[in-house]
Parts: sequence; C-alpha cells; structure tokens
Amino acid sequence: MTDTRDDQTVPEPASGLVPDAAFIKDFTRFQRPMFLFILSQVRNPTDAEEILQETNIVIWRKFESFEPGSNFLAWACQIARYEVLKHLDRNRRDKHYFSDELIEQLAGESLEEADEWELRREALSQCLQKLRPRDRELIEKRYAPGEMGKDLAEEIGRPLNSVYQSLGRIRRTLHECIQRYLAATEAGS
Amino acid sequence: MSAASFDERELIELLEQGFEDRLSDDDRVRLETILRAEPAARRLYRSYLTLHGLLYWDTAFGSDSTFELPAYVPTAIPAPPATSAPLSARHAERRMPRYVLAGTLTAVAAVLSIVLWPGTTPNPETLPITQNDPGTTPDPAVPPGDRDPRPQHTGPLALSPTTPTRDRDAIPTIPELTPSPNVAVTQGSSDAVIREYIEAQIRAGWEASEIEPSAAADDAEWLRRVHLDLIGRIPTASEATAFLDDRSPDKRERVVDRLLERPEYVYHWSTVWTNLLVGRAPEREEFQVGVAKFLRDSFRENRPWNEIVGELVSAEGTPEENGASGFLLAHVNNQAVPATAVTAKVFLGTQVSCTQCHDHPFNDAKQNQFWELNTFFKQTEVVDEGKYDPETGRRLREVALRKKSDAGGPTFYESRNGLVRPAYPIFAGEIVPEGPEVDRRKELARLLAVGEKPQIAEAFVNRLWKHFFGYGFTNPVDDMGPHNPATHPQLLDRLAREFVLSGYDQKRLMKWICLSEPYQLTSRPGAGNVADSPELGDFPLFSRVYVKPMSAEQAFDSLLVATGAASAQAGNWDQIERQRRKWLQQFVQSYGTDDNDESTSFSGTVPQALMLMNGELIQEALRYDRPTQFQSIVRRNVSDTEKIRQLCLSALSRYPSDEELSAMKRLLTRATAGAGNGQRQELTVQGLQDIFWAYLNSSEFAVVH
Repeated sequence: MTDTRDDQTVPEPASGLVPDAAFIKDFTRFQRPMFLFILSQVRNPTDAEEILQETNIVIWRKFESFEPGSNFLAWACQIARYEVLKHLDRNRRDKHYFSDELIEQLAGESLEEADEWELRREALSQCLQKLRPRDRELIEKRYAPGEMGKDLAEEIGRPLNSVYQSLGRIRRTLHECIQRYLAATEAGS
Repeated sequence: MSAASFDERELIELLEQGFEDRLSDDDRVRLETILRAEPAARRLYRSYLTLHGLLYWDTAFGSDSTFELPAYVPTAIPAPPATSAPLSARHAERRMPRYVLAGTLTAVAAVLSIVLWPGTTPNPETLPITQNDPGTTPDPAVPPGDRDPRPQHTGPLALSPTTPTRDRDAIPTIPELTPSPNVAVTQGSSDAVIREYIEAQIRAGWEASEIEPSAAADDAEWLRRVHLDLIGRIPTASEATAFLDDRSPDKRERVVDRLLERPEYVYHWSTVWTNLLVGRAPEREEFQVGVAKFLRDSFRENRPWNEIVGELVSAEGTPEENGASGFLLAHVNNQAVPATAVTAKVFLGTQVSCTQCHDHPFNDAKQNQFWELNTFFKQTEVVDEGKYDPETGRRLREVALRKKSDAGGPTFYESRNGLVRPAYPIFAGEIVPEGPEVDRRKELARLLAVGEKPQIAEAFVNRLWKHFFGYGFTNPVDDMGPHNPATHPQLLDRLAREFVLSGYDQKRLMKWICLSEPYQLTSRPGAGNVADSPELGDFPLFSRVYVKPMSAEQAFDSLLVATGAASAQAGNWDQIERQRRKWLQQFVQSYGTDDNDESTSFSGTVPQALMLMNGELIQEALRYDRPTQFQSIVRRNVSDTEKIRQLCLSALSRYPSDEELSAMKRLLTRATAGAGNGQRQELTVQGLQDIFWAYLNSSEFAVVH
C-alpha cells in the first residue's frame, strides 16, 4: 500500500487552477491593509468588513489574473474599490456615506499611505501598553466583537455620555501617542 | 499639524461621533465640507480613522499576548462562496476548492455546527475583557457578599488605581483544607495522594462558588484531547477504535503511560518549548534547530526541568556544538534586554519586559529586578567563529556564545525619576561576587533552582496547567506576582513543591494532571456551571476543560494523521519537517521589537479557513488516486454508512451522532440521485470527499476540546 515512489511528490500546482503559496501568503498578509483601505472610504468598520469579504471572494475567483511579482495590494485594492462602489450602489438610500467624489479622493490618497499602516499598528500596540489599566480595559471592551459604546454603557452601568467622553479621551490619547511614535521613527531613520 | 486652518478639535469630535454611530445628517455634511477643503484635514481623518480601524481589527492585541496565539475566533465551517464558480463537475477541477457542490457543503456545515459548543471561545491570554452575561441572575440563596462581585454588577466602573487588573477581587474563596498545604512538604507524596489533593482543591472551588462541574468526557473526547495535549496530534482511527473497544478500567492510565513514551511526545514538547524560547521566525532558524535538538535530547531522557533551564541559561558554543546556546544567541542582541525579558517571562513567569521603559506603572523595585537579572548576561558575548570552506574558499558565518574575560560590572539604568542607578547580579537574595573568574551565567543557573519552591517550579507548573486546561492559575501564565493572584494558590503551591520533590520530573507532573478528576470532564458547559466562563473574564474554576485552539503545529500534524500521510511517508521525517516548516512560515509575523516579539496569524480567521480549504494538505487528504486514509476507507467493502462513520472517526476521533449520520446520508443520496450505474460510483466518491472535507474544515477539528 505504501508506494514510496509516488510519495516523493508534493502536490503539483494543478495547471494554475489553485493559487500558489506566494499568492496565499500575500492574500493573508494584506487582509488588514485591504480592510483599512476600504474603511477609509466607508468609515464604518462593520461595512468595511462586509465589503472585504465580498472582495475576498472576487480575489479568490480572479486569482489567475494576478501577475506574480506585481504589487498585490494595488491589484487587490482595485477589486476592493469596485466592491465599495457596488456596496454604495446597493445602499443608495442610506445617506450616511460621503459623496462619490470625496470617496474617490479618499481612496486614492489612502493607498499612498499604505506603507505607514504597519508602523501605525506597531505604534498602537505600544501605546496601548502605556494606557492606564482601566482605560485600556475600557477600550478593549469597546472593541470586543459586536460591541458599541452604547452597549458598553449599559453593561458597565455608566451614563452613556460619560462613556462616550472616556472613549473619546482615550482614543485621542492613543492617537497622539501614535503620532509621536511616527514622528520619532521618522526622525530616527 | 498646528498650521492647519481647519479646527482639528471639531474634526476629531465629528469623527468620534461617527465612531459611536451618532453622527447626524448635518454633522455628516459638515464633515464632508471640512474634508473636501483641506488635504491636511483628510490626513488627520485617515490617521484617526486608521486608529479606529486597527482597534477594531486587532481586538486581541498587545504585547501581553506575546508568544501566544492570537484570539481564536470560532469559525463555523467556512461556507464556500455560493456565487462562485460554475457548478459543472469537470474532473480537472476536483482539486479546486470545493466550490462545486457549495450547497451541499453549506448544508453539511449546518449539520456539523450541532457539535460546536459555546465554549469555543477566544484564547484567554488575548481575550479583550469581561463581558457580563445578562442571563445569569444571582442566586437568591447566596448572601449578597458572596455574589459575583464583578464591577459591572455593582454599578459604576470603580476600579481603584491599585487594582491594575479586572476582577481581582472576584476570586472565590477556597476554604483551607487540612492538612494545610503551606506546611512544608519534605518528602514527595505518592501519585494518588497528589491527584486527590488536586481534586479536593478544585472541588472546594466549585463548592465555594456553588457550581456543579460538567459531566465526564466520554472516551472519544478524552482520548483526542490527551493525544493533542501530550503528543500534539489527534489519535489515528485505529488508536481510537482500540481505545473505544477497550473495556478495562485502567485504560486511561495506560494510554497516558504509553503516550509519554511515544517519540511524538519528544517532538511535540520540543516544538512547544522551542516556540516559547526562540520563536518561529524563519530568520532564527539555526537557533531553533539547535534548541530543538537540545530539547529533544533532554525530553527523551526526561531530564529534570531545573537542569534543562540551567543549561539553557549557561550554554556556551555554537548551536551546532551545543544546541542549548541557540536560546541566548537568539536574544542577546540589544544589551541582552530581550534575553532578560524572555528568561523572566518563560522561566520565571514574570513580565518584567516593560519595566525597562520609564513610564510603566510598575514600581522601582521591579524595574531594579529586571536590571539585576540583566547583569547576569553582561559577561556574555557573541563571537563569529566562522571558518573558510576549504572547497569554495567562502567564509561561513558561525556564531558562538562565549564568556568574556572581564568581570562584567554592574548594569547602569535610568530609574523612573530620571536618576542613573547601578544594578548588581543578585538573584534569590544572593549576590554573586565580582571577578573575572566568576561565570555569572553559571551562577544564575544554580540560583534559579535554590530553595524549596524556586520560582521556575511554580512558573512551570502554572504553564503546564494552562497547557492542559486552557487556563493557568494566573492568566496570563507569564505574568505572575502579587498584582495577579492565583485562582488556586494552595494547589499551585503544593504542586510546585511536589514537582521539586519529584526531582522536577515533567512526566510525573503531566500524569498527575492528565489523570486528575478535572481533566476527565467534558469541555461542554453543563446547566450547573454556566458561571464558570473564564473566556468572559471570570476566574477559571476548572469545572470543565476549556476549549483551546490548536496550534499551527498541532493542526499540521493532525492533518497528517487524518490523511494518512504520516504513515505513507514513514521514515521520511526530514521531508515532513521541511514541509511543516514551510507551511508554518505562512503564519508567522515577527515584530522586531525590543523583546524580539512575534505572533502567528494562525487563528481561525477567514484567511486561514480559505487557506485550509485550498491548502495542499487538504487536497492531498482528499485524493482517491493515492494511498490516502480517504482512499483506504472508501475502498473498504462496507456500507456507505460505515464509510461515513470511519471518515468521521479519522477526522474527529469520534463516531457521528445519529442525527449527523442521517443528515450526511441524505446528502450522499442527493449527490448521487438519478445517476446511472457507472457514474454513480464516481459521484459517491465525490460525495464522500465533500463530507470528509467538511469534517476536516469544521471548527471541531481545529480545536482541542
């Protein structure tokens, strides 16, 4: 039963029908950047996540049109861009999105900053450590899956408004900390 | 930034409102106006929004989770995108992701989700925070003071600044048992006595919290768990059958004994510890190889843990000469700050890594301890002892760990109030004399094991407990200390002492745990212990065995078992190891921080699911034209029902429930409906492939429960 001759072969890439390891790696690695790219246009993380899922399906279907060695993120973001438009089309009546012109402008500019995102992520993880424990706790609670500030207020029994204020204060603190970190990194390099 | 002509505060306030979903239409128009006018406004907008996005995306964040897997998000079977790919069943596409029959798979997913339980929850280390379960009403019979005192219940969040972490006051008070565990144990107790002690202590916790433990795990659940925990892979179908058919009362004990002697035991634990000690990053490969080899040799002989630790901190030479040197070679960069942090964390169970930075809430004493530990590495240097290759004439780099000839001296560091202070080599209250002839690392190796209950013993016990139960006595396990009291301090204390008295015998400790009553429980919560949900931030009471995500290695090795690839490639460990390494690297991301941190992205997310779905491993598993496990089952001369049962056993180490089985059979019937005789067989094989695929991609497969 054990045919050793045959076992030497690691599965052959089936005539381009299955994405290769490099593709899968890029695909995995760029999930966060793609999410941020989409977010810059629609503002709402839940929407962005939904659009990302739709984008992923298309990417997966179209993987053959990706030229190995070219810029994966740029390619993927083109698809994402299209999926954002589709999403907006579907939700035309929903008025909380920006105008198409502004969205297009934001999308273009956002991609230019893509290199910075990883640095921002690092900065954030450091800055979170510097928060006072109870602030960190609050922010972690707020971003637990499915949470919003208003649920949180109910949960911890604090007035809604004071929770909003605290969250705002903590996010400002984090933002300043990240900006300092970036400035220091730039100065250092 | 200050040169902007727009009002930054206004912009941020608008964004804040948007984040919390309370932006009015007018506000949105105002926001758009600001953004259109100024590039700088759009920059700030993106920067602030990115923060929001990152917080949302990386809810399981922070360096607390270093070395641990990120949060496990329970995924149901990844429903293949129903819209994609034509439904034609061209044979060439059988290797394609199973988009074909997408409908079938979604249905299978629905069936399988029956077996998922609420306990499949994020990794405790990284889980953001407590959530209150509104469904739990306090028992009126409990006096108010004994009720769960989590702050959420008691109105405003009023954590005092001296309570750095949540829920600290929620520890159930466990009545002191006689004999008092703190009475010095001078002679090791028997296995039975220790197991009884574990049970009594854990039971006392249940009683104090008035909860009932979950039911006992059935044989299949326990067998799979103990295999994954002890040897890092699921049992083979024949191992499972043999165990399920065995009627003898001591069969669990015999399995534990047998597993502890398996070669995979050595392999599994050397992987676990290599990941902790060196990490998975590919650029540290030569150190990983060295440390893994050293650990394999040590675990094979079941060397005492204190000796292993001692060798790791005092090793000299190249990784080739002495594998143990790989540990420090990987971390002595940056004035040995990473080496200090990793030593403290992994061996001593304390997170001092951040105490080096000035504005950390920890006190000066702790900061001082960090630098004292650091001084032990001061005489260490990394020397490139590369040689010229006589054949090619090229110089080969080869680094070695050596002791400098000087005395070392103190480490100077800046204290929190800005003063420069010296730290001396002091550990366990003993100061190491100064002099070039003194080898500080050798001294450290000795001092680490001084006393009746050295910290390395307690840290080890705590970490192992977590390995088996999903949570440690403190969580995270590597942040022990007065600020983070243990859930069962007496049990931890006693186990650590017994471990020392046993001669740091790892296998014995594992046996105590694996055969103790709490480990025999199912992972499913019962009616009486819904309150025991550490994944929601409560203190673990171990009234069930918490579900753990598989590590990437466990998933890989288990897939090999399920596919039968392991036996087909027997004797070719090198090749498997290479393939495993290649596969794992897809998940690793290193941060390049001071602590040489890294994380894996193997966490049950959509990309992972997609990767599994398309991964070579799974595709191999489903082949019918190769000697796979799948092929051997499908070719058996038994009914389709029996084949389904066997496929389930191979993937999940259990037989399907009646309900599951009849649903699967229906799917199979539907898949072959109306086909002629010739086509029928092919369609049946395809139907079975889909069923096996669904089993391998189920959440149940990807967890240790």
